[in-house]
Amino acid sequence: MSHAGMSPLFGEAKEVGAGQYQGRLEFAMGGDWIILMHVTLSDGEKFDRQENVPGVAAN
Amino acid sequence: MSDQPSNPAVTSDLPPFDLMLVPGLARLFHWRHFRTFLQIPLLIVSVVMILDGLFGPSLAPKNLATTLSWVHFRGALVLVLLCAGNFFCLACPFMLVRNVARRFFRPHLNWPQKLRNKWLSAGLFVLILFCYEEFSLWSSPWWTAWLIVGYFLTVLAVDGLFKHASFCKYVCPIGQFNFLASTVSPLEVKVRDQDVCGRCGTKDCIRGRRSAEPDLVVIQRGCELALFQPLKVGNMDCTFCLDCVHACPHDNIGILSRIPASELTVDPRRSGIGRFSQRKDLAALAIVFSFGALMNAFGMVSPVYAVEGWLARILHVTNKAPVLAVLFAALLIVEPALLLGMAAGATRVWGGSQRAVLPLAVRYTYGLVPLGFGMWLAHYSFHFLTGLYTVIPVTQNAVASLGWTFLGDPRWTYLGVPMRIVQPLQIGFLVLGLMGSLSVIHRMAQDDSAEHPMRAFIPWAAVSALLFAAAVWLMFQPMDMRGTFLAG
Repeated sequence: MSHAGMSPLFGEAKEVGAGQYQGRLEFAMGGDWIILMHVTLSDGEKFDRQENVPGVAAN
Repeated sequence: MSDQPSNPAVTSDLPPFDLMLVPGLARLFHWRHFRTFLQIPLLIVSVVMILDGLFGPSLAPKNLATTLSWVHFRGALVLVLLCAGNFFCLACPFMLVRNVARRFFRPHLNWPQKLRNKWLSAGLFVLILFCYEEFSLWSSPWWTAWLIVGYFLTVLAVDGLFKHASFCKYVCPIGQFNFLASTVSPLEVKVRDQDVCGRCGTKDCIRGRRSAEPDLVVIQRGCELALFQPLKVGNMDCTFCLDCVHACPHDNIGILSRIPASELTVDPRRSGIGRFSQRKDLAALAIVFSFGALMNAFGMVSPVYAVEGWLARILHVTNKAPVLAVLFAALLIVEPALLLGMAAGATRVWGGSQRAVLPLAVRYTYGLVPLGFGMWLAHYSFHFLTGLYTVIPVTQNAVASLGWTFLGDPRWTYLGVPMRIVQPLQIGFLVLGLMGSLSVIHRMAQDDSAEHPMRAFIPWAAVSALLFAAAVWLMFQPMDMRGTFLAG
């Protein structure tokens, strides 16, 4: 969530194919969401990626 | 003067509780550097917020500037105001910087006579609310940091040029928020015994103390906000700076308990302020405070985007500012003018009040302050409580970014109090605000219309009920926190 202090959601992505991972997140509210991916490779190397998901509409 | 109570609203025979007489606290409050002691940690935190806002993560939930400003500071502020008083002005870090600067630059100008009112600060209050929406301050560490920097610079500019506490009294929007909110606080800086003041020949509480001639150096300031303690009523314009406490040669000023909001029910001539009922500027500030609470909460629920989209189509604009301007005008000018005008008209015609419509509207507007405060409480306590522990991982992250590992990896799963606990609290705050407003308005109606107090009461109770219903409706709307809209 782009607002400081708003509850984040957590999910885990599972490998569904070679180099392909799939996970499920259910946004708790409308607004601008940001997905932060914390990745650990098989050799132990870690890195982060960010994906913006703007304008999620509330139900 | 000696037999005149400093706050005619408080009529209990029981001696009030005095925070300054609590063992341990008494010495602390009387310590000359107590304020500085509180200000230094907040100044350090402010500097850290600025640095993290400018150079730290651009993502608001991971940044100290946004997290501490929009989650923790606002929430802690309203809860302290509810439970105690205006202690945040006491610990204000901006004043510490200003006091240091005044050691080098002595201001020589008096604040302009035409600006000795709340019009400017009410306008700045609106501007802050507008900028919050326009620039999505909650989602921008960079803008939030510059807001804090701007605040420091403005304090230095205003109080560097003008004498006394001109910034606090006539400019600071946060201060005005605190002044109004503290009218419903349970504590007040107040004279203990009016007879002692009656016998006092020096009036140091307002004049301050100077060293002996020929130097005449100020060794203790009196009240910089022109509040003469024996005639001070309530918390309006009081920063709890305790200058009067330190200046009083008779140790006759304490932090006393009182009935919250009782100062709103009476209309005496207040030192440094005058009569509330004659202060249109102060009433305008109370309107911004009360209706702005709704406006600020409206900006974070889903229906606002439907309304904004509809306005954008009508106005043929894709820019956010004109749409927001229309919304602000509707909710902070048109809506209050209609509601308060109709209620004042009904009070005059139906309730038989002798006052004209405008003075009636001005007088009763202060009755909405408890409800407005309840709305701010419900809103800010939501962010504060649901995000209470987020300061831990954000701090861990900031420290880790400097290469220091002693706080460990950020625990992003630390959140706050669950919604099932927070939501009933929010309802409780709103109900408390409504009860406070109804109580104040009822007392005003009794004073205003001796023959038909209920007829004077009902129109204003209806306005309060309407605002309360709007607040409850807002609370149950789906939340929607978008930093951008109208795009594409």
